[in-house]
Amino acid sequence: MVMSTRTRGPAPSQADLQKRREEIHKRHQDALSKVEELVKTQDALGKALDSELSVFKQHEQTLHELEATQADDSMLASLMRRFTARRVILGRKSVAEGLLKQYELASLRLRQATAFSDELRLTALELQEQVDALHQQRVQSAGNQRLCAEGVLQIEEELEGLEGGEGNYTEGERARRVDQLTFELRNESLNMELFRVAEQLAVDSLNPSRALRDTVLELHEGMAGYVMNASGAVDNAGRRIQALGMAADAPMVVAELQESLSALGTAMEVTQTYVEQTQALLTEVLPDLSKRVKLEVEGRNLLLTDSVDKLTREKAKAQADRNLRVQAEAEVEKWMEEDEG
Amino acid sequence: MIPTLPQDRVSGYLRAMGTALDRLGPNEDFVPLTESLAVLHALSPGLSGPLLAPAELSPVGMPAFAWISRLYSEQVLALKTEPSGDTPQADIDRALALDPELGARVAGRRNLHRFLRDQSLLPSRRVFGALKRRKPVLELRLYFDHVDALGRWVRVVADLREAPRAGLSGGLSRSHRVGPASLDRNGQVVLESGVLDLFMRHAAVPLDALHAQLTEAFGELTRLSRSAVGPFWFPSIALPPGIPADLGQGLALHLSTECIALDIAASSSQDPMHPKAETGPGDMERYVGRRVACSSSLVDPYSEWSQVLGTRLEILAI
Repeated sequence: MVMSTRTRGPAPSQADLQKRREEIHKRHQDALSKVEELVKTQDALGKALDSELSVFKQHEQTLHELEATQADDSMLASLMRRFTARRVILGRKSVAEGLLKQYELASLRLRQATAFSDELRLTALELQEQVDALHQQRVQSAGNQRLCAEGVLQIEEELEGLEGGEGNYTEGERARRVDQLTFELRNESLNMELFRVAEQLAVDSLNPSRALRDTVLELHEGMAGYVMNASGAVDNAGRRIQALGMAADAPMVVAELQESLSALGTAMEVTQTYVEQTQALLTEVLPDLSKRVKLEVEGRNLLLTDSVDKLTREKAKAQADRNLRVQAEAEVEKWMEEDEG
Repeated sequence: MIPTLPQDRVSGYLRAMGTALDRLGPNEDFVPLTESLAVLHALSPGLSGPLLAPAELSPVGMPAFAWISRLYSEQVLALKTEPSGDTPQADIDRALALDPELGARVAGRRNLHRFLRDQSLLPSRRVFGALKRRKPVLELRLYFDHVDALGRWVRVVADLREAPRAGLSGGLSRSHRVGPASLDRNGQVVLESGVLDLFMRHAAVPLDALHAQLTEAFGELTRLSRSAVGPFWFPSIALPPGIPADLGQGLALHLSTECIALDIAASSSQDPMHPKAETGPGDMERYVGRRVACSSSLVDPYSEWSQVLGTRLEILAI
């Protein structure tokens, strides 16, 4: 009879659609909470690193003082050095030890940032998977909707023929067939409407999903780039501190250590820019995202037609015509774009 | 230029070094074997995947400080988190399906953290003491472990002896302290906070200069040794000047030790890299030694090198 029902997938019920809508919204809410948490973690990590690198730089002053002491070759200074060396042999702090401790703190924070960057990447991939699933749902629903529309028009044509006296039927058989087709028509019209709503649901969910994905992608790109830049500078400083620091009393070594700390300036600049960017995410991007996800719910409540029961034959036919026309236009547009491309 | 091992050679490198170290069986003058092997196991991609990459090497073929310090940071993070906070397998499977490289890192982090919670690693530096003898005078032993500038794993051991003091009754009085080291009620050695800084400041100086500094801080030393795990030579590592090139045609892990002590009968060296041993400060004599675990093809070249320089290098085939 109606061929389209054999080739398309089963139509979702209204309950299915309601459930799907709630699931998508919950996923978005969960993702939003996670993004909020991720942005806050990122902000805290950036600030902590900034402050640790600042402490690191404070050691530069200690090195300056050490260098000044060593450079002072007056007799008094020489006598004083010998005297203080004996007196405070255990009181003197090792510059290398202080620097290594600070390096370890910065290095630890960068490892945390690396783990966090992996978490961001995973979240971005999951959100992309959701976006992809929505596209798939949209395409499937549109295809099914088209098959339903073809079915509606096919039934309508048969019905019109029967009503116009076509076919070799007894009166009773004709009446039975008309009833049968009327039922199928209403059923297929309802399916068409349900697929339309499913498609609309997928289309409307795409924007917030994309926005969430893009925010996390932005976070990940920022964090990954930052970790790479800061790690390079901190690692270089660490290598030199470790290699030279063990003999930190030698003047040449002190000068070298100062150089390695200067290299940290780059890491600090990168960190400060990064902290500013994260602040922008906190103050601008997050409120906008929350708004979008909230609007998504309000908008979706208007999706379902007030009552599918109100679909008359005329309306169903008109809708089927409209659906096929819209889809045909979309296809033409796509060909045109491909031709231009 | 920092030598970096290709990822597919990292496991083999670590396994070879572990086997050589195990074969040499270092004694208490060296950093502990279990902790050293734990470091090698934790660095292995078999456990931690690509998490700790890149595998950077020091100029003498040991794992570079930057590589190991990533491990130390992961250990701190592991100890800060509960096992229940580990990434669930379902999340790892999802990550592996979405991006195999990311999945491998997430799985490596989980596996490494599980390992690190139960295992102590050789730290980048530490100082601690142990009681050696209470009578007739207090004798303590100090250990200072660290990764040196060349990436070798070095232990300094200093034996301290309390200076005898005359008591009120004319006999010897006993204290529980040798300079900044003391014994607590439980018999544990407690060190003042400046001791680590003292060792750090003088870690790289010649042993006699270190002896002078420690004597100034602690009083009498009866023995002082510095023993290193490393270098680890293999074909990608440049040998120091003066070393026969054929010694680099295979794998060789060195353990070296220099010791000055009152109970060494006569100074001697069995180390072809330092074939002369001068007497130590004061009444101390010096011993310099080296042991090598190497590929069997290198046993003869090492033996020849040692004989030419008049030393008795201990050579073990891996």
